[in-house]
Amino acid sequence: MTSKDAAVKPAEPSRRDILYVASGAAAAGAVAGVAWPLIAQMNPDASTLALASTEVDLSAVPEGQIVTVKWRGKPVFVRHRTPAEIKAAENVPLSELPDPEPDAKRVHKPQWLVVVGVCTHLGCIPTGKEGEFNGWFCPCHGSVYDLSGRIRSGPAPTNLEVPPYAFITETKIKIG
Amino acid sequence: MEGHSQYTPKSGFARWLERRLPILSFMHDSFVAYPTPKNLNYMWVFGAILSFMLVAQIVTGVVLAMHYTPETTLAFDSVEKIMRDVNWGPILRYAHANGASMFFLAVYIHIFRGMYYGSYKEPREVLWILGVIIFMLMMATGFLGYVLPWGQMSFWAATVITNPSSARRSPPGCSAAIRSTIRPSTAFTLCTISCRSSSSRS
Repeated sequence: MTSKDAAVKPAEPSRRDILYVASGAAAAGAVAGVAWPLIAQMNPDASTLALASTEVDLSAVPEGQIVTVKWRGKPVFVRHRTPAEIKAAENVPLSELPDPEPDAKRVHKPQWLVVVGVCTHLGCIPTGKEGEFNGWFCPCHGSVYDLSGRIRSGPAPTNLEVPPYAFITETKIKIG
Repeated sequence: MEGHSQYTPKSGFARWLERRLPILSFMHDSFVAYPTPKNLNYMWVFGAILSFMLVAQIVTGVVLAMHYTPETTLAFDSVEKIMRDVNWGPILRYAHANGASMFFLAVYIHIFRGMYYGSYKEPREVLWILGVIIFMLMMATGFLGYVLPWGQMSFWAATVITNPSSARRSPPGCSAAIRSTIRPSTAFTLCTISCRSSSSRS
């Protein structure tokens, strides 16, 4: 408001204006305070979160083998890759990939590949050491994944998901 | 309240909406400019408080129902889960349980306000009767909610409320029929509230 307008009409907020704003702010705060528990009750509780991580002992997995572990009700493939497989996965040009992602970004240690074993197309479980690239092949609709779990051909839109995991010791990972 | 609305839409969209669906003037006339007799005192807020309590009970009740299992062998455990595991579960459950008590407190004040100021008098008798019916529905609803956790308190409350000794005062012939409808088995077991709707009645 310009000074000219202010001369015509006093710019002082009235007592009622302040009450409107104050009651509106109080109401907004009350609504937020009520909405918080009503939404938070839908989140997973502590007993659910306690089961949300899985530890895997890698020392029992020889080179070349894939083991499947269960994590949050889903299969997770843990693959001990051979040096030849690592090399094959790393040497793929990104231009050949429908969902370009370098192998180094999908592993913590090159010999260990950990991916969620659910086909990104419609949720089937792909079979290991199958398909053109000896990675995974989904029998449902023919999606082919390579040695890094990346989609190479078929209807699946994205690479196999890499779950959050960390090495606790040299031979033990914690997924989730 | 009566007569033409004092509401005038300010924006173009409000004018457009108001002409097609007069919901803006309805809200204005209900919540912003709501003329009342000037001799009303604060005892008249309890109608609005009761409306608020109804909404609060429905919201908390729907949320609790998401975590509750309506089966006699599982009901108590599901309530325990609400109290121990569900995020904010104890707050929600106590808000619902104590909210029911507060609801009744408000309705008693509302009723006595009506009695003291003669709100039941001609031409408002039908309004009063409807209020009495709603009050009885409230008591029935409150009892059913009390029974839901199906612990000791619920069980014996259900036993007492459906007790045969009070049935003597019912019209002849009705008591047994009503009782067997409420209690499907002669030996009153932990099965009355929800087994009735399930297919296996063991």
